[in-house]
Amino acid sequence: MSVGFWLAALTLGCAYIALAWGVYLAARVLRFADISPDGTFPLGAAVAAALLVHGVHPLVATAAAIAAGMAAGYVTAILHTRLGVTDLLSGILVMTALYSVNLHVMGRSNISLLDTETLVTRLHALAPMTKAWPDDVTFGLLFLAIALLLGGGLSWFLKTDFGIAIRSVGDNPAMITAQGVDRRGMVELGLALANGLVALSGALIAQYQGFADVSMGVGTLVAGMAAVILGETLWSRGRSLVATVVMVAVGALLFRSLVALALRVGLNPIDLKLVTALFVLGALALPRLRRRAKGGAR
Amino acid sequence: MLAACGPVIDSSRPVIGFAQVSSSAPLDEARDGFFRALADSGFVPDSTITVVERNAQGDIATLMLIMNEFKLSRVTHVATVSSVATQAAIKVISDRPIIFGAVANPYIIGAGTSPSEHRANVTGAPIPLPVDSAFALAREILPGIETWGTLYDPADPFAEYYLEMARATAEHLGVRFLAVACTGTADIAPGIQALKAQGAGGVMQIPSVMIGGGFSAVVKAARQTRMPVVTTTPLQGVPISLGLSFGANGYDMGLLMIRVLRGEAPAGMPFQAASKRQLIIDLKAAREFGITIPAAVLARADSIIEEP
Repeated sequence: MSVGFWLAALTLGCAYIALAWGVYLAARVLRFADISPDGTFPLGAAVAAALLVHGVHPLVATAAAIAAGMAAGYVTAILHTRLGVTDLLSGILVMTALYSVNLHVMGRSNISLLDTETLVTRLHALAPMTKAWPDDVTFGLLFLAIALLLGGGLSWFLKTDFGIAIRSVGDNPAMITAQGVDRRGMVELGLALANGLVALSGALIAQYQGFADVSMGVGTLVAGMAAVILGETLWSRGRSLVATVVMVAVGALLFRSLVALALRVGLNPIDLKLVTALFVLGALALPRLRRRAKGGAR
Repeated sequence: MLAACGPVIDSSRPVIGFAQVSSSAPLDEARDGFFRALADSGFVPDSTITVVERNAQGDIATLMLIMNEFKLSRVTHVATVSSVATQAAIKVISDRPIIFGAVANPYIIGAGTSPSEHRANVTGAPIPLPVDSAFALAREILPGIETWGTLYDPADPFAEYYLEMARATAEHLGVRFLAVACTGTADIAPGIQALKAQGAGGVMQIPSVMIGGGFSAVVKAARQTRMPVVTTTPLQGVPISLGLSFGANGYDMGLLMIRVLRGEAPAGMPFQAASKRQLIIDLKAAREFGITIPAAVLARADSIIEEP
């Protein structure tokens, strides 16, 4: 039973990688306390689901989800850059408003995608051999391929002049302004990208689980931050950009695996979140304790 | 190493995987009713059946993991309460029975197209709460109230379904009907105040898992604003309720599970919507709201909670 179970956990983890990178971009690269992912994640799911049930091609529906997420991220940014609203409150306002927007987009609170075309059913049509594979394998490979493409693209983008300018906004805003770079424009573009990634994650999850639900954004930011911090903590040596991007993805996989591990331990059902929190704490603390123990031995 | 960390499942007897999306009073009542039905028929956990119970604690993605765990382990029968748990089960599991409960409308979530035409491995006990009948009763008992209101949770998959039923009934009864959205239990008290401010004279509360979980707040705020409350499921402090209990719904779901455990195939088992409505009058609560229940209604009541 275990291989299939862990495969399902990793498939979910792969779908959450885009979310983790979105949160990383906002929180670490731009140093912007953006909590709009709790709204842009279900926004991605809502837009994709609403279009899919109307027969729109899954690729177009997924792309529309990304565009909607980017638009929402842009709104968060301009509330801060143009209207002077603090970063935290900008995110709160957008996240709050998106709850209603998502209900309008879906027309109701839940859309079933059980018998609807998705990226995977399209893949089945393109490569009939995939029909014989378990759903988790097909979804998992598809999500992994998307993550590899995104990861490559993100690493490349952050190394371009434009990407370096965005990184500098978080690292040294005074310097970047002194050099004549439009700091506000960089924040706006960066947050649009970040929330586009988050919305992509929502669109993928909706297609994987077979429904979109307006309440599926609860805890999104926490899961994303946990992935970022897990990734950073587990690889603290030599913070190259590519290594950090990779480790944030590993953090997303690890976080979902730890939730799965908490489930598999099979304790009292109401202890699930407590056990998950303890496992995450353990994953964060163990390397430090081991290093301390080694230091003590010397 | 990870493979070894799961619980040991005794597969010499039926293994029921029971999943709920979160803990709330209605869902917990359905859960308790389900296991009570099993126990009443001699299906006792760790004796004649094995139970693997999971609660996603509000995280919908975790539901997918739970269903994968059921699918890939020795679970032989799956039981779900709530619509999202049932949706996740239908998505992942197609090769063993799924019995659902606490679902108002199984057709919206893709479980089937009619009580007898449904997915071959799925059957269950829908709980279509009679908002229309309860509303008509409210009007009969309190004919002086011309404007009624309800709180609703926009995230509830069945909010729109029940709201439409309430609006249509209001039109039929010739009264005004107001609805105020609540996205969390913290919105309940202000929501009742908002209803009062808009002119509501009574609360005809439509079903909602979230609002049901914080119903004490509805009763408290409604008492302060002197608005009588009528519901479709019996709840503490409510003077008039006409409908079904989630506990009874869970019990019905348990009876369906027992039939499957005894060898029946879900494909041939129509959905068993609860139909035995109960009119419950709480005289103490009625006095606290300052209302008098007519003798004709008391005569029809299935249960009267007397004042101590």
